[in-house]
Amino acid sequence: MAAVAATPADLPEAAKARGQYARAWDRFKRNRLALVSLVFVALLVLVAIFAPLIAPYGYDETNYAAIRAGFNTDGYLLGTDQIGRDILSRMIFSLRTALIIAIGAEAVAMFLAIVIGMTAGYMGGRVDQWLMALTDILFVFPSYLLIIILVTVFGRSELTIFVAIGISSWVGTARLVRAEVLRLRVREFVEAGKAMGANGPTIALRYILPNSLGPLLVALSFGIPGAIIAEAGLALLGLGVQPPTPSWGTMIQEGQQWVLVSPHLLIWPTGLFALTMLAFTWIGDGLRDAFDPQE
Amino acid sequence: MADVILDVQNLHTEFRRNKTVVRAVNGLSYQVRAGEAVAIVGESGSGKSVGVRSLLRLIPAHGDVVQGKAHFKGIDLLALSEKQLRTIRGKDISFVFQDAMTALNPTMTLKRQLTEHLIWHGLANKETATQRAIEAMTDVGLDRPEVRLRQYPFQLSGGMRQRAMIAMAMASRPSLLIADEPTTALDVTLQRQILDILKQKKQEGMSIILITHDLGVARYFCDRVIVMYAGKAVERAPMADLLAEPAHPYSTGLLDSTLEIGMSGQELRPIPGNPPNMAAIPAGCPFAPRCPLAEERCRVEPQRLEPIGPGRDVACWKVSEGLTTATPAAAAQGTHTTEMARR
Repeated sequence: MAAVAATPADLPEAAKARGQYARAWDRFKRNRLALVSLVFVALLVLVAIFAPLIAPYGYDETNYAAIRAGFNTDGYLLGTDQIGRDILSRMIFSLRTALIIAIGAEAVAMFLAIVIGMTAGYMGGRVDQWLMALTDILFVFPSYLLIIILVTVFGRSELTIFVAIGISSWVGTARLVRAEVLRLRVREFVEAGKAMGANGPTIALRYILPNSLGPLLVALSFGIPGAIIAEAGLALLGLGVQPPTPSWGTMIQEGQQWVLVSPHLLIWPTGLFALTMLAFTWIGDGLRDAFDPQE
Repeated sequence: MADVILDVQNLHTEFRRNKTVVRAVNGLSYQVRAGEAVAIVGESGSGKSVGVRSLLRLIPAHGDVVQGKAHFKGIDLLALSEKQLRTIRGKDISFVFQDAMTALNPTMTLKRQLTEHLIWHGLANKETATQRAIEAMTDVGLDRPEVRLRQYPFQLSGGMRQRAMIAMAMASRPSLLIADEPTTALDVTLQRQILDILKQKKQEGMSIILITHDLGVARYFCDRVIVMYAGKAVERAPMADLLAEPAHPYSTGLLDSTLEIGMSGQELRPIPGNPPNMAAIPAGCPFAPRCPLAEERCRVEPQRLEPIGPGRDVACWKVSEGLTTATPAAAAQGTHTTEMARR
């Protein structure tokens, strides 16, 4: 039997049939806005992780001699708030809160979405009907109301907040996962896996899930800012993380009370918040285009 | 017949959607002996693929094997639980699918795909599995198997992928290999190479079921052929006999519509009409509406396989009652013969 002597590189087929993730990354890179946004978010994550090293003051360090200090006064680069805490430091620590909320909430949401979406799509029949009925009910239930109930009952720790946000935001992604399972489970390689003797969990986790990561990644990139906004919304209602832990939401909520006399209390955190949301939106757009080039 | 390793009797598989019942396989029987290659041929939708996939319950969820027996080495596959079937799939019976482009998992390296099932089935441990995968890859002519093992399917060409899939199926050294249109998606030179691999495997003693719509592919290495129409076998014959003298009018039509290299002075005749709607198969012979020899009796009387020679049976009363001899290829469609004579 003659061996096929050809390296993948010199086959035209190999060139056009590159891995879907490699191709997606190529397309993502071509989108400048998305790339810049990604770098920006990466920077924010680094700042959040090293917050105690970077922040010039502690987040709860008050200085009653410098209350609502303005831009670059008394050694406070972005000024101080109504009880003399450094706004820059509080913003840096707010990034931490946002990061914890975002990762926690999305971990909960993704876990629920994958488990429920996969079960529904893979099992089909009755199980599918019941699970989809459950998602439909949650879908029409106002998610803020659900979060508020959960936070009121279980307290305002970061843990309860992200769990509550997670529980209220998995529905859309679960439907997406289910659709992906329905699309993939009739594909030939899934059938081939079964023909090799793979069992249900193997098919679900090794054959279907890895092949539906693209849409999940897009959902994640829209879910993260969603979670951060949800926390900010809670904070505006006075249900954000327990003070003195800073979050963008609490900073904005406190700042708005002084907006006529010291607008900078509101402007800085709101500005960064808006920029971050915008960056996530652009990343999400970039990812969606990267995985769905037809549009 | 002690050496029969697969004995399928009266298999019925149905697909249900709402109130429609599609009887994809409708009383199919066949045997495969050890070391034998059997071809199942027929048009798209004739149930040839379902008739084989049903054995391992590799059919869509709305499909159901409603009747029949399928003894593989003495065990009735159709009576096994899903869990028991899993111990046979990929171990004793392996599949090669039509399109290796889509039948390999795009997110797994070849190493994973070629070794994982060996470990599931307890045929090897992590180290020996890799060794076996390399052997299987060398066997099917994949060069530099050590390098290939680290690659993903997208890094391979179409031919290499089909080889990799055969290697995957072979690595467990199954006693029966089911190849479902293994060459349909390949170009002609690659087809030949893949068929050579299968032929070699047969010579090494493996039993093979080849599902194809192309008699030209089937004749390359198959010993026997089962011609399927509308979910049933209409003719079962040794390959050489069928090629020399197809008995059933459908076999004749199939042979006449097969294109072959070196064919000259012969006309390619498609079979007129379309296969029946499988949700409403006509009573009597399902081929009657397209059959040039059909009479009233064909339309009302169901046809059963009747022996007409050694190892040969046919589901056509006209043939089995000797009213028409096994039709020399082309004679079945009367008016065309004169046309051919003029050439």
